[in-house]
Amino acid sequence: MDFELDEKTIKMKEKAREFALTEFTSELAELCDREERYPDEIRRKAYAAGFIDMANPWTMLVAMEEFCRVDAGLGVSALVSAFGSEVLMLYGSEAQKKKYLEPVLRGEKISAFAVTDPGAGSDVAGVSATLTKKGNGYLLNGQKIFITNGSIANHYYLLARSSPPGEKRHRGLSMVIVEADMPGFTAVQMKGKMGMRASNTAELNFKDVFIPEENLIGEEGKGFYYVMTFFNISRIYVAAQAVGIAQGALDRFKAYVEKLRSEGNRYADYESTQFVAAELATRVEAARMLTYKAASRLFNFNPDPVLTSMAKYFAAETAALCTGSMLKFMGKDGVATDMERLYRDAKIMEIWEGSNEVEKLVISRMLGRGK
Amino acid sequence: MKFSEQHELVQDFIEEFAEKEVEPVALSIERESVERQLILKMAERGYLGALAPEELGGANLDQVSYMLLLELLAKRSPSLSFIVFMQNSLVLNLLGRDEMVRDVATGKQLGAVSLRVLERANRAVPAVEHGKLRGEEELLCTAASFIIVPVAEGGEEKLALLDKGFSLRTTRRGLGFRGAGLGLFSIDAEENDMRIIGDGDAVRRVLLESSRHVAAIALGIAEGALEKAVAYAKQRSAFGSKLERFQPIAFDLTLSLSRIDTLREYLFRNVDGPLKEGLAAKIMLLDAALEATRTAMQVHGGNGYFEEYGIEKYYRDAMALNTYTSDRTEDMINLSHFILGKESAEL
Repeated sequence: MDFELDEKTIKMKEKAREFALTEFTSELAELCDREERYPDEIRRKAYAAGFIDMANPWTMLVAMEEFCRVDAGLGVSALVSAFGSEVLMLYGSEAQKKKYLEPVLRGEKISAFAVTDPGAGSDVAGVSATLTKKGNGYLLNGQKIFITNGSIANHYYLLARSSPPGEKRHRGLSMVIVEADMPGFTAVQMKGKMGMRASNTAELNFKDVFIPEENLIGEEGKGFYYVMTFFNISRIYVAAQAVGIAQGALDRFKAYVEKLRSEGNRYADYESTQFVAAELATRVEAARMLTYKAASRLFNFNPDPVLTSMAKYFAAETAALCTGSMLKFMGKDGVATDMERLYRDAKIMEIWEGSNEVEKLVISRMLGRGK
Repeated sequence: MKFSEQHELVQDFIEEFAEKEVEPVALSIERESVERQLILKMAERGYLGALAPEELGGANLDQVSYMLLLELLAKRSPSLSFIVFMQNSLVLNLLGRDEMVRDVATGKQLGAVSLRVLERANRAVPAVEHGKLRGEEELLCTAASFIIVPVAEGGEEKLALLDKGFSLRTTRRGLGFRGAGLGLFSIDAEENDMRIIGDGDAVRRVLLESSRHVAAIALGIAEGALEKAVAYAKQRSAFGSKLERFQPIAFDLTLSLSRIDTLREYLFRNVDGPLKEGLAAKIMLLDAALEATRTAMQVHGGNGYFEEYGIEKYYRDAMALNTYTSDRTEDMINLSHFILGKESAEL
């Protein structure tokens, strides 16, 4: 057993930290947070620096962690420009890969993954957007919400119902590729998020959007399973975001205590202060190990959905708890710094890409099945 | 909680105001701050001079009524409750029987008190030099027409009131109480413009004495968030059932509600009781508010993360209340001294 990252990944991790410390200025982080502005220039730079590299998932993973450690909104925005594209890598046709995947991998285009309906979030199979056969394709109708990259993406990997529910609840769903400029399609940015405000989020509306049949991903009726497979990948990256946020909170806390110590403030040496650090450092390390273990299974083509959900759930909870306890301890000194932004950002970790409750469902349902 | 008939009436009266006048504008208070009109309506009802004597234009409410006011306002708009807290528990308490109390009670003026005593890291206090007072101060309540800030004069720290010689330089979108507004004020005043109204420890004392008031705000925040979460759990379906039918959600909500209920009893049972109980109530309710708002957010899922559902403000404000009214370590040391004795909690 070896718990260390390999040398190349360690180097990338250091490089990612340097990149974030240089590029994620507090002015930019504040601006994007205040105005809910997507930092496209950061995405371009991150791509140019080689961090968005789907052929090297460890690079993406440690970059995600290190970016979010400095600023979660900018970090996520910088790295999710190819969001959902793993689905095409796994299930797309050669023509689809050429037309949609390659420009995304070259950093020229942005993709998005559109699953959540207004009436169905955690309950993925409850989506109500519909695909109705028409000529040599489908007509898409319905609505999607909370779509990351929603109003900046060039195309979307979208889940909709292609046959009526009833007995085919899960097997009646299909995935298609929707282009942003298809007639009948509109996207509106959703404003007013509590945190993660640099990241673009939108509501999508479809009215008789014609989807040619060559835009069907894989087979009809298999959409639900593709989405679940994708979640087993994306949840690992979310776990890394959460580990980064929790580590970022710990960094800020330690720096704060050091500042107090340098000013001769007795709070620095109180045992109650020290224990806050000890407890949270322990949780962060546990979350990181779980995340790396789940990642190593996935990246070695032997994914373990239980481990993935454990990592995502535990890391997300750790991010929310750590930012909370540390901000509470730092009090007025903390709320005047970017700790407050980190606190707002952290909460979404427990909600998106499968809420804590959904992860617990996955874990509990699969635990009994043995390995 | 069994209240007297008179307190039941007060409660109904405030609840009606909160429902009719506050709830409809709760979101716009967060987005655009409190309208002057609403401030005046509160003054008219005596909420801004709630604790002040009648001869100074106050409503002379008793502790229970005032705490009900804070709780019920916080339930709809924590920002509004914080403004009332700032005027009554801090400003009026520090002013004592000063004539300015009348201006605050009638809504003519709003004051903002520096909460710098809660900071541990060193930062320069506005200082008097050559007859001039210069410095800057971050204050919650950007509409303030007078400010109460610590000043350094001849190596000593005092508390000064300024009604001119300061200006709002920038505003910041803070973590919480956005309806009150967070602003950085520049101070450039003549020495004669300032009036010393207390020693350097006055705000710390007043905050400690206001422990039950803080607890009442925390209570209101938790209740407001949980009320919305229960309504949501009864209306929203997933996996073919209403959310409330799922045990993890039902258990979390009912435990939170029960905890809040118990703490409400504790808070109101003896409002003139020892400070120890007030402080214990403050600490427990600050934590309970964090926990309750976290549960309420989680029940709402992605929707709760957006301001229009009116739930995320409770999550932010529960933490903001912690940071703007409490130095947790100091509060815990004080409570330990009350309970275990002066030898305790040193290391």
